[in-house]
Amino acid sequence: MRDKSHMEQVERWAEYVRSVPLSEWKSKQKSLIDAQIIIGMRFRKNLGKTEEGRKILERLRKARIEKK
Amino acid sequence: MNYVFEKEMNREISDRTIIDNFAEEFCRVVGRHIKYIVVSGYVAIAHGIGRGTIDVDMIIEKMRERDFAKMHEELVGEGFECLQSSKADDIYEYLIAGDSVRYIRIGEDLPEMEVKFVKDEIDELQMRTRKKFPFTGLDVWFSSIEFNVAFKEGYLKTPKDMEDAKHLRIIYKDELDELLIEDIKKMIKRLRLEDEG
Repeated sequence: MRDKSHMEQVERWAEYVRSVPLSEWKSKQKSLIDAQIIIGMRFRKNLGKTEEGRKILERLRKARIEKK
Repeated sequence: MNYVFEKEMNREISDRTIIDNFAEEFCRVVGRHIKYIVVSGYVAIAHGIGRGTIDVDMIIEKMRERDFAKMHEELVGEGFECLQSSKADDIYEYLIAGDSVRYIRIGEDLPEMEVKFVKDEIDELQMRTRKKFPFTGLDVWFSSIEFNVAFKEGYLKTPKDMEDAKHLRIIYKDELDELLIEDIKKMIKRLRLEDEG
């Protein structure tokens, strides 16, 4: 359960996004969003370097395929 | 060098995210073959909410198997692959059974596009009322904000979804049709929640 201050932060951020041009909020959002993808890819790349890691990757891939 | 890093290194100064480029490129191909909408978390993210995601959810109109095969071939030609199978007929079986399938960039795990067929009249109505939002700067068809708010507040209801709904309400304050949101919530209750018991 997130506390009230978390929702207040969501509201403050939304008001900011609404009040400035796209290029301004997007450049701030980009680093956060891209980091998640880049770190996820780097993690998978590192896993792929070992036999055990490759098995984990295979299990992860299988789970994604089976997920409905 | 993989696609994402190559794009990042070679990009001109751009504020587009990796997932924006991925979504727009996938939608461009699909849009040449069939009507689609992007729904769920990425709608709020495209509108600036401060959280990330690794997937985008897409609903497409039902199509004949041979038409799907053509679209799949073009997706592969444009550098995408399906996690479930490389064969269009196998993938089509998933879709027609009501399951979703996942596409990624060939050789990359992230991000992914989760694709499924329209399943009921709620999806059909979302499709008919789809919109592009200049606010996002993206050439992508989304389900309407009213649908997204109604789903997040009336069906999904997780803290993350409630935050998404709040964000969208603020971005489009004074523009949202509250009566429509309430009608959609009733429709969701009738067609989704009661079906799920």
